[in-house]
Amino acid sequence: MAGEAETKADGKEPDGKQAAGGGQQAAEGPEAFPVVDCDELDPGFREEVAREAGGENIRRCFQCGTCVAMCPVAEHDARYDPRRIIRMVNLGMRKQVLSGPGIWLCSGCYNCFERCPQDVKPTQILQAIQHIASREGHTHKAFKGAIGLLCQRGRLIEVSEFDNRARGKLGLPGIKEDPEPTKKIVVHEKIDERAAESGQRAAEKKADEGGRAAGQQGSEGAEGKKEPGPAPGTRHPAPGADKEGSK
Amino acid sequence: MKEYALFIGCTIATRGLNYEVSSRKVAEAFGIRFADIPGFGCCGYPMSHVDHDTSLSIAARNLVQAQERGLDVITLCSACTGALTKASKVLAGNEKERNHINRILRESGAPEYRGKVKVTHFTRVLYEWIGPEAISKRVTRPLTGIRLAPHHGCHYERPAYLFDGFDSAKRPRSLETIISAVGATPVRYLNMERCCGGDILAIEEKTATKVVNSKLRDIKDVGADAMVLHCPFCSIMYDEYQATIEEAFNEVYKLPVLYLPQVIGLAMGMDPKKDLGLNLNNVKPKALLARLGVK
Repeated sequence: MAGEAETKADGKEPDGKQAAGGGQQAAEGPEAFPVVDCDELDPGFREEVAREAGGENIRRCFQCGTCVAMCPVAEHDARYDPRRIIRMVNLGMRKQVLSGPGIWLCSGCYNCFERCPQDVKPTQILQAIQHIASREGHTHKAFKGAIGLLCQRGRLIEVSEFDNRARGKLGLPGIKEDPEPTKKIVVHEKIDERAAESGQRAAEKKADEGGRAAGQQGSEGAEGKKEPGPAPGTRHPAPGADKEGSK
Repeated sequence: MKEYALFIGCTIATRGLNYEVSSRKVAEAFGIRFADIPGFGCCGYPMSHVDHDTSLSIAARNLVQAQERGLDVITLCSACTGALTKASKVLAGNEKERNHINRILRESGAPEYRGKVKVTHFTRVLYEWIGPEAISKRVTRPLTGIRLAPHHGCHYERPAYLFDGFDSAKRPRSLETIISAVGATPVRYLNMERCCGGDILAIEEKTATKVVNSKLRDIKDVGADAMVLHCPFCSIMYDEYQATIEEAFNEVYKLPVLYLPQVIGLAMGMDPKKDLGLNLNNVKPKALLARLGVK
């Protein structure tokens, strides 16, 4: 799981200092309750999420908060609030949603999914948003680490000689790493390129932080608004509306 | 004798040897054969946070390995169960999506997936196929008076549409049923269905430990001799992380965390070390074993 990627990959990450946002925006105080700036809104964002696998039902949300009440993460971390994220998407707050830390804090437990009275499927919506964010170079560093390990080993945790000896002692069969088949899929889908891009993005952002604060945001937003996206958008279109999410 | 392709995934292979060894012993005792498939790799779950097609394709590639052997898949890890079941269900029912994923597989040099492989968690096999009565009949060392707190975790039964609702997604009971079948007392506690937080450990460790701590406290409130679960990542959170959490939150839990097959194996009179790897659990269940008169 992602935790494994972290324990192995962390430390090598140049942008690994900021644990909270993973090289993304630090979220303290006002960041957790973003201001709605009408000039920044992208009214097409919710349709963009609705077109993504798992995002189909986003328009159904009537903001009841059942998801938040059931959420084991929201209880302990004010930056994660599925209701607020869905509201932000429906309002068109594209940039804040995609670059903020909140979207990575869903633990994927599906408790909200099973209880949402509108069948919004928040867990899958969060994944759909993560997928869009990744395509735009915002892949969280934990998953960049995971991608690296998949390409290197075909699994998230190295199976060393020591591990195989421990397995042997218990009468368990040895395991031989074979990264090629998994790596080929990752390379075919260009996930590794995106991850590299997102590392670059984080570094640029860091370099930029010292000087201007507002200037860079404009160019980033303009680039992000092109719907199919430039280089990272070479992904295959979502195959049809009859996704498992709309069952 | 039913044979399954055993999918152990990444975590169990190195950090859940106690789970793997006890599962193999218990399966063997009930006439379930595990076939080891060298071609299995990562299940694709981690990529579900990055890209839909990549995650499904990696999962499907694993299903192909089982397909080539003519076997269904049995899983021990809940995250693997979630990712592989999703691929199995989506690709069985949706030809368009299957063709799309097959194109990715073909272009990556993998054989085509025909959409027929089924995926089942080992606990579900014990619960549905073996059944509590049959388990009960094999008990030679009843765990009478032992209070066990079940933790079902997330991707074992949720989302319900992937798992045919074999157990309640809101209030699962399969672990409790098996705990009762071996003579122990299942303990109910607040927020039983809550997640271990393992998924965000790498994203925000502090928040993840708070999630773990609240469950350990809820269990402490009602009092239990051990926690019972069936996912290596839940075990990392509650067992491996327990000492760290006790220190961070100034609490004392000393709550042993057992895998379900370890509990069943104990009740069947298996050797705690050789068969069940109980010496590999971080929080040692010494007091519990002493009460059962096991050394």
